[in-house]
Amino acid sequence: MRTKIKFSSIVGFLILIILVVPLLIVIITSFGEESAISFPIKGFTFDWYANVFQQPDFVEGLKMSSIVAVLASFLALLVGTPIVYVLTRFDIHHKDWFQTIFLSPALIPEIVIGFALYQALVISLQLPLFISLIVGHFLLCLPYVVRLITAGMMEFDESIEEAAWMVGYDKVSTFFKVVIPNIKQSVVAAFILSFITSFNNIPISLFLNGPDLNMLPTSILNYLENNYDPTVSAVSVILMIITASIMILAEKYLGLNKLT
Amino acid sequence: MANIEISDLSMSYQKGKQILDQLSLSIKDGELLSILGPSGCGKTTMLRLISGLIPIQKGTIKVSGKDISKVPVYKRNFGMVFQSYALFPHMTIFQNITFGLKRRKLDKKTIEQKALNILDITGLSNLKDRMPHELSGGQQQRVSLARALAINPNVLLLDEPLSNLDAKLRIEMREEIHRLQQKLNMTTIFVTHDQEECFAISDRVALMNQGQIEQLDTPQNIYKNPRTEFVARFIGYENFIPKTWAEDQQWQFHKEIMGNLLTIRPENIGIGAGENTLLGKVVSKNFLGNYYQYIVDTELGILKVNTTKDQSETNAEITLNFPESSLIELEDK
Amino acid sequence: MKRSTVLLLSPGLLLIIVLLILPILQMFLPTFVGDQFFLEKYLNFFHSSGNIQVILRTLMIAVITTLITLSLGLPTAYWMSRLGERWKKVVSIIVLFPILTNAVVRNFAWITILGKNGVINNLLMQLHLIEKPMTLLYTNFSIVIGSVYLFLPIMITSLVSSFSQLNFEVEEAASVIGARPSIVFFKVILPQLSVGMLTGSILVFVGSLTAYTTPQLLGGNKNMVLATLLQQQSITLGDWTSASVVAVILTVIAVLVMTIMNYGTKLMDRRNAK
Repeated sequence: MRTKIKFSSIVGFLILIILVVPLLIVIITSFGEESAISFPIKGFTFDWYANVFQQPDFVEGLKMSSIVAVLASFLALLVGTPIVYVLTRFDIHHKDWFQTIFLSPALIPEIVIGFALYQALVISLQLPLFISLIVGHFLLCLPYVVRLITAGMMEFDESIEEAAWMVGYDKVSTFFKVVIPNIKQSVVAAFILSFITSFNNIPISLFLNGPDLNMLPTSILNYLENNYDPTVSAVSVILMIITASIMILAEKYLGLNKLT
Repeated sequence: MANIEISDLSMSYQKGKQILDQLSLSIKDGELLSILGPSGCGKTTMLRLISGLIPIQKGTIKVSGKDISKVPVYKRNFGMVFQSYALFPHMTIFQNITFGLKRRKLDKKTIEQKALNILDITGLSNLKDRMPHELSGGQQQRVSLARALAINPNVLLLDEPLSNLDAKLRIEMREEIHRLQQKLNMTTIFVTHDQEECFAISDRVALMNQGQIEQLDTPQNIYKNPRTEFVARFIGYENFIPKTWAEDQQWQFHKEIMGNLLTIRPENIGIGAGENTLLGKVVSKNFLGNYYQYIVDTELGILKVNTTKDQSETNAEITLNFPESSLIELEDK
Repeated sequence: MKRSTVLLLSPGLLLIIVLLILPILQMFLPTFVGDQFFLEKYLNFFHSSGNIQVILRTLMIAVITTLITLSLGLPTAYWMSRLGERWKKVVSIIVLFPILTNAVVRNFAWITILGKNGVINNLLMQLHLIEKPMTLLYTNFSIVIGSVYLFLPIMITSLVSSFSQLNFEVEEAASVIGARPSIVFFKVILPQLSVGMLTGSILVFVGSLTAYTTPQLLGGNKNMVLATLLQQQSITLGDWTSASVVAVILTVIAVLVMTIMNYGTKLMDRRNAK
């Protein structure tokens, strides 16, 4: 038994280091003075961070990515929550078919969704890119919402709702006064996970952005095609700070295990 | 207050399984009626139909003469206590109790007055600012009862309210329910699978089996005169004697009903000579505190005999007697 | 069906049909129209050895990535599951952080490590172990490295949850009756983990099969996979039909793999439940 534990401890510890070190290197390179990324760095500067905010693509991209992520997550919650309520509480035929349909965006490769939406919405229907982006990201978020809220509803005792009906509340007011306050954590978790997923997405945005409509991750991707300087490191660090802040918030209000 | 008239209530699920079969029942004003039966007999379905939690397929339910079949659950003004307590987890005890009152057009002061009154008579006053998860099971069930009574319901419905409590609390809670029910003179329907708790507090008992009422009577009458084999077995009769056999033996018993079986309680079978005798051999003897139980192998199979006196030993050949007055005729179903 | 059910389900259903299913069909259907034969476009696609290579490369990368993450994930998850509460939490945060961090960032990190002037080449040259930089970046190797880095945390997370349900008493019982540690691991622990291993493998396999960012950033133009080929055919070359053929193939492989592996998970679940 002892050798087994030792072996797995060594591997486990090494894996942790391998997970952390690349991100540390990125953080360190963001402070280097040389115009090409190098490690170890020479000198120390914050210039690349300043440079990030001088790149209109990055600044606009950050704004657009945030707006799209918020709207798409919100839309997914708005559409997804009633669906989950019906699927977990009503007695309907072919429940698992419906379940599969609402989880189907997760079955199809994201890049295929992006491509299909580009053809259908942008080319055929001539919809504005912004609307198409929202649609794509809404589809991306919906399965997360369905999965997390379903888990929340399953944990919530159905007779508590019935008790509210019995004392005089109709189903709609019971939903808002009793169900929502009790699945709040799942709703928040679904929103956070949707936001992160949408914010980080590349394959769908790839097809649905344009000259006036930049998403942050695709902007970085484009920037990397022509440049290789620590600006990318700096913007990466900013993204890591955003991730860390979201994690701290999630831990404070939900406990991180709600997110996995 | 209210009386309830249920007629021809039927219910089946989509797969064609009949849950309730043309069931009729009337409950008097202020009565505590129990619905007793094994799981799957339809008792919970029946309660849920009365409460309005599930829609009526066939039949009618009248409360004080008014048909409520089409009245939605939230307008029925019934109180219900759930097996799982079902308290609102995000509200304090006080908020749990006033939640229903707030829906009614009452001013703040009246609501508070009513809530405090209910808290007082259920003995919960000192817990009113706690959250449900801070309470013990017994306390939670008390709150559940208080919440149901707070809206001043026409009818109180109890769905196995004691089954999640331990033995001691169960007795305490059932007394509490009985006390409040008497005090408020509340028409009450109590669903349970436990014969003892049901007999202890009910005015009448409806014993259900396979979607039908097998017997509707006072606890005493059901105990003394079970109508069918099912009822007899459910409330603890274990000895059954075919009528034709008894006739061949020229036993004396009342012949009033058509049916094939006689039954007798173990404590009513005598050991030694007497009327209606039968020979048997003692298979085993068990001392059970205030009585002895003899397992006796007879021509009729194994019979159980309870006596207060130690009268015989294992393997002994004994004579059993079956007094005419204790032999109960059972109807065929 | 009740009116309220229809009312609540139909908006979502309508959105999925109009915004997902119809666009997918619109893309799929034209690929099955040919001058002589409905599968003509696919025959043409498979006629090119370059395309076959792309498919094989895509599958190989997914298989290798899955195997590596599985073999690295198992001991790591085992170690994590036996840590005390506090350390377990710290380690979980370290594992979760990369999952929530953008893939561009994570792949970019490996550019700085594997590049011609990257960390590894610099180090080896300074130690005089090599004369001129090795080509590590823009190879199949770098795609695998990037994918493993991308998906290892996901594999660990799904394994940890099944390790935490593991019954360690069985393991102790096995060692008490004298089984060697390696036998305990392979005969006692591993079978209990099969469902977690499959779930993790589905996520990693399908994830790396359909990934775009990693092969794009770390593979370069020579080492195409289906996702980057789809991007090249459509955005760069504007050949919508060929791109659609690639999209159909990618979708079919992904859905097929998921269906088969999900079915396997269900079977194992049932077997374990017995």
